[in-house]
Amino acid sequence: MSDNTAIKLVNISKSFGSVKANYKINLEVRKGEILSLLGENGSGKTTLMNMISGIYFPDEGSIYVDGQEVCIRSPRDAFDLGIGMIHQHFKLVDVLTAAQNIVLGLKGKAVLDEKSIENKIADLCAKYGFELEPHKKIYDMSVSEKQTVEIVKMLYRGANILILDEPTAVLTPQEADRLFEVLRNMRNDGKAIIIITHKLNEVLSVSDRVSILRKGENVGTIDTANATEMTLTEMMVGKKVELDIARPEPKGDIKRVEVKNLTCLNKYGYKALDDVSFDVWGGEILGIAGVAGSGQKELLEAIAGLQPVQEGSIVYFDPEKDNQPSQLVGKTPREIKELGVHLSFVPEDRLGMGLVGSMGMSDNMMLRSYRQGKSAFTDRRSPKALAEDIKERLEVVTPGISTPVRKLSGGNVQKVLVGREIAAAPTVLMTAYAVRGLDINTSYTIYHLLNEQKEKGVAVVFVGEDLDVLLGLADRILVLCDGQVTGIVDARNTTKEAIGLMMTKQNNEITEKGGEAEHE
Amino acid sequence: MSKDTTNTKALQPKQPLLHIVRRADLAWWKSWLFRIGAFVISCIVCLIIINSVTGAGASDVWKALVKSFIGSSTSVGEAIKTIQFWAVIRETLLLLGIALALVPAFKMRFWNIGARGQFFAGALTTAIVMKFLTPYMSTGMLFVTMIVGSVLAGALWGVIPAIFKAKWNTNETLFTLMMNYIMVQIVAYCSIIWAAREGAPGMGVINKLGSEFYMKGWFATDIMSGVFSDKNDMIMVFIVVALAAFMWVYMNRTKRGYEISVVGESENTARYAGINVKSVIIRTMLLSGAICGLIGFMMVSGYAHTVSVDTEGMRGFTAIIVTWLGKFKVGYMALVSLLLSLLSAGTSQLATSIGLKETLADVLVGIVLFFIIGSEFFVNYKIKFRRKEGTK
Amino acid sequence: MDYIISAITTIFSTSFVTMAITKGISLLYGALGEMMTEKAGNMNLGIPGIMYMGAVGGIFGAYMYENNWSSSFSPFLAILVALAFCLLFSMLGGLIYSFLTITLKANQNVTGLALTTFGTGFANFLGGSLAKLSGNDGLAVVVRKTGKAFKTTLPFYEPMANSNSGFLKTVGEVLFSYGFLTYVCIALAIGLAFVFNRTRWGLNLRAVGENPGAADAAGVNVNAYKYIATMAGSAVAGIGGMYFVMERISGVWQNNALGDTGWLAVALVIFALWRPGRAIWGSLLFGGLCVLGTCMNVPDQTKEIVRMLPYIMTVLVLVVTSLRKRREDQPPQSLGLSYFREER
Repeated sequence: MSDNTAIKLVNISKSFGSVKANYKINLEVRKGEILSLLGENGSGKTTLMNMISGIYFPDEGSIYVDGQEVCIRSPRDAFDLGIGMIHQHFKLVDVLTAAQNIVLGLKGKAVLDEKSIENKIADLCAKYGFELEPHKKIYDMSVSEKQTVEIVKMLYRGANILILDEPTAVLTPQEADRLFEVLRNMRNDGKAIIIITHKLNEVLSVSDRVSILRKGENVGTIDTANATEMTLTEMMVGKKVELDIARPEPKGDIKRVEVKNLTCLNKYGYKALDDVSFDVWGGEILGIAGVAGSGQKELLEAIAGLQPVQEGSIVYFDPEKDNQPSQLVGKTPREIKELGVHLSFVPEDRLGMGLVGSMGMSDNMMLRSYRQGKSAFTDRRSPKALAEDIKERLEVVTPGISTPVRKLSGGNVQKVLVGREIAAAPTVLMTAYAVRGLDINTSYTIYHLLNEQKEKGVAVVFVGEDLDVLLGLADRILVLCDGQVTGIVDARNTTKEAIGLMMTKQNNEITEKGGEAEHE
Repeated sequence: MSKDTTNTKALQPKQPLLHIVRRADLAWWKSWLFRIGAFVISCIVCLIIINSVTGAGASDVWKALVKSFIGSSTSVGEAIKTIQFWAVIRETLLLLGIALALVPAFKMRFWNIGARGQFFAGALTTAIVMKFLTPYMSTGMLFVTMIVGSVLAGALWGVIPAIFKAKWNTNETLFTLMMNYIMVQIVAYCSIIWAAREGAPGMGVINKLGSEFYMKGWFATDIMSGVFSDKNDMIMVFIVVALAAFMWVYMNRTKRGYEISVVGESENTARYAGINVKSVIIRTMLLSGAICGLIGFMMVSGYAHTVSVDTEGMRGFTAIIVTWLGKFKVGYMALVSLLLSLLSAGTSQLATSIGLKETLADVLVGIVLFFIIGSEFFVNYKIKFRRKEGTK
Repeated sequence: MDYIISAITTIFSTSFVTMAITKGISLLYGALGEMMTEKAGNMNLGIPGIMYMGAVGGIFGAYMYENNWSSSFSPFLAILVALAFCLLFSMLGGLIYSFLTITLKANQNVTGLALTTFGTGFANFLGGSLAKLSGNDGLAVVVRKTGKAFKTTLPFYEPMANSNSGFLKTVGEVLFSYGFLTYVCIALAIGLAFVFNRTRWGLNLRAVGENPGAADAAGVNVNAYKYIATMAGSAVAGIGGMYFVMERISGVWQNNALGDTGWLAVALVIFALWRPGRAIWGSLLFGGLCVLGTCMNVPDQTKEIVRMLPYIMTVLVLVVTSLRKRREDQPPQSLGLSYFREER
């Protein structure tokens, strides 16, 4: 073990129930380096880091800080060892000010000396170029301001080992660049920095070394200088990515949904969608790309009637009624359903929105259809049959159809959800991050199901994060950036780079070019 | 300085002695083993307390418990026997009835701790109807009016906090708690004005008409005597059993019950499923309040024949505990109600011998509850004792 | 109309003010105790029971001291013994609640209500037993001497009360005619306001009640804060119970002596929007409303209606704050929820 090692993990394992989140992981971070922890969603990155920062306690294994074995039982222990973690979901108290959050939990004089605290914060801000109003309440802050508070909080505590969990997921490109600048400064100060990410360009641009996790195991650590996107991707997914997704030719030429000038506000009152217009055609898969939080969620929810619309229109053309148009804006999900719109929706939050975790498969089958019929009683027979059918066809691994779906693994949960939505014989099928956290086999099952729907003439909207998948599966790709459409392109004739550019809005011309690629 | 000391503490490679993890699953019989174990321990604690206070040994306590349930078989005879028996049953029914009312609300994660107020709303309405409408109505009509009135009053009292919860997310725990005491004061007010005007001795008795009123208030005994051998309490059994059956069907077999479960699990899922969360909240609290009101009616018209601030006897709060410990399942709730009533009656019996009546019962019931409440932890979590593995 | 005039004249009478203050202070103690536990995210509905336990603890200590443990009566020792038992009993209640809700993560409402059942029963049982011992037909326990000791006034009250100036007399009566616990309570409220807002403890405590996950991640020992706040809060509320029986009813215990004082205290916390400063004048208002009927010499039923007002006002405050949605006025965000670090 070299003197330069800041923290070293040996054979760390952690399980949640039957799920092995981490298995015998070894990891080493040196002083004065930025280490990227790369892995797909659900590969165990956050769990591992939570053990270093004292949130979880490892089932097995040991941790060495500065060469000495340590036991981190709580975040307090982690701080004392100079470890600070910036969680993806910020750990801030909303009703307190920035300064109060920064000094929270610290030892010191019983009475808070606000002046000296503010001075120290100001010093830190000046040193690294942050902008921070110490008196501002957290609930008044934007996401990037909150992140600044979190980073300053760690620096204030004198953290030498800094862990950032997907720090750029919620940032604009400019904000991300500023963050990287700060991280480089801190590295030059001799701090050890770990960033959790699944974005390859970040890994390559900011880190010195990269460790790759796959399914809870560390599959290797390499110097970034020797890494390419290809090698990293290979390590991340286990084999060379030959995304061999079938893509039948779109055959439909009927406009199914027309979205025009759609504007929505998010829960903080900012524009989540800004003047969005596009069409979805029957018999095609429309991919939607964009950095997380660019308005994908709001877009799908607006169509489903779950998100209040500020302006604009969403028109559905009903194939059963001779493509007669009907307006969806201003209607509740129930009213949309009663209109005869066969809209299926696989939301991002599977157990928090799409399914009821404490209910079994059978009861979950009823979720979208229980209202059918005039009887006050629920029909229990057909959901049961449907559940058995889905269990059979999609090979859902479950002890029984009445086992709470919460107890199933992620892939099986998704099979239940997608199975139910497809069983509703939709004319429009919307999916958000349908393969997130799923293994390759399950992912392919899902792709196959979507293609099947497409061939039946269903208009499929596929919100994805993996560009390779979008390029391989979708017919057209709509790119969202900051709530605006920055391009709609033909997926067969575009490149990853072009889409990447649109996602970061770095080329406005692409917007116009993309416009030409509209469905003819 | 202080940093250094904590630093060395954290540096020690010693693992924490205990570590708590959530259980993935536990066989049903094991979870019951924990609960029964807790109950047994609590009984031993109670025995020790009883022994130190009264000097009674375990066998005396057992005898008293038996006596409280089936009455004394030696001395006073059949009459006492039945009174004792029915007193326990009645208590069980009242507790179970209110607990049933709370099920839909709790299942929706709406913390209705306002059963006390909703019960009183029904009880008071029943008493008012009894008092003022008796001369103008046939028994049947009176009966219907009382039921309708008490159900409406209970529903009203329950729905007020629900409306605010649905529209403005007003904290329902605090709101329903306050509604209890507003209603208690209303009852206090009514029981004074009406008792005083009749010149009745003491406060809070509206039972001006005595036994005649008693008969008119409930099913007239002459009609029912053939069927139920003069036991009014038997009707209570029917009401509560019907209520239990209704609640089971409502929660497990109807669309509305399904909606309640979904809303309780996740409002987001409910919205996704096209459920109007606000109307479910309001509708469910109407039901919850209405049943509380109905139990209030049952208490006043079937048993108390009066209303005062003591009529409710904190059953609204005890029922919350019953619902929670019974895990919203009708059978378990009935068991817990019976247990509490029995315990209460038994210890009262014991304490009477030393002249301390209900108060000791409250203490012992409290202790048993603490143990059962605490035992849930061992059902849901697992304590892992850690040992340092010999790595070197 | 007559009622209003009569009410106004009553409000300006010294006897009303003094009664309102003693009633208010017992509420304030309870409310401060509840506030401390609620700031830590624990909704303690056991506070009414804990106040009973504190009250009967005081009575028990005083009774034992007066009758069994001393031949000569020392007011100072009497106060000390009463206080010691009051704290012992009320903190026992707090410990039960804390252990169940914090360590064993039991449902707070259920535990609290069970504790109220237990505490009330415990107090009535112990009080009843003492009453039997004292031979008062089992109706009441009287510890007048200790009660008097608790009501020892500040030294400058005597001269004021005996002075010829009507003004001085009134001022003395209104402001200085109470036992020391009254002033301790006001000081405690002010002190708590300072602690909550200006100190590290207060900051950490508020963070624990608002977002225990964030507090934990920042290195605050969440369970320790919850325990300490709940235990200290129980102690304070227990003193409130004892204050009620010693100061307000001069050292007499009867069955159910406290009535609904504990629930009013819970209401006061909401009314005061979890702020000790607001609780001071809120307690005067609530105390005033509670005794207004008695002082006004109105019919009994009117008293009951007046006594309803504190609850109605609390509901109004609750509704108005939820309408205004000001973040600072809301209950602590994780109030009522137990915290488990490894929850996923």
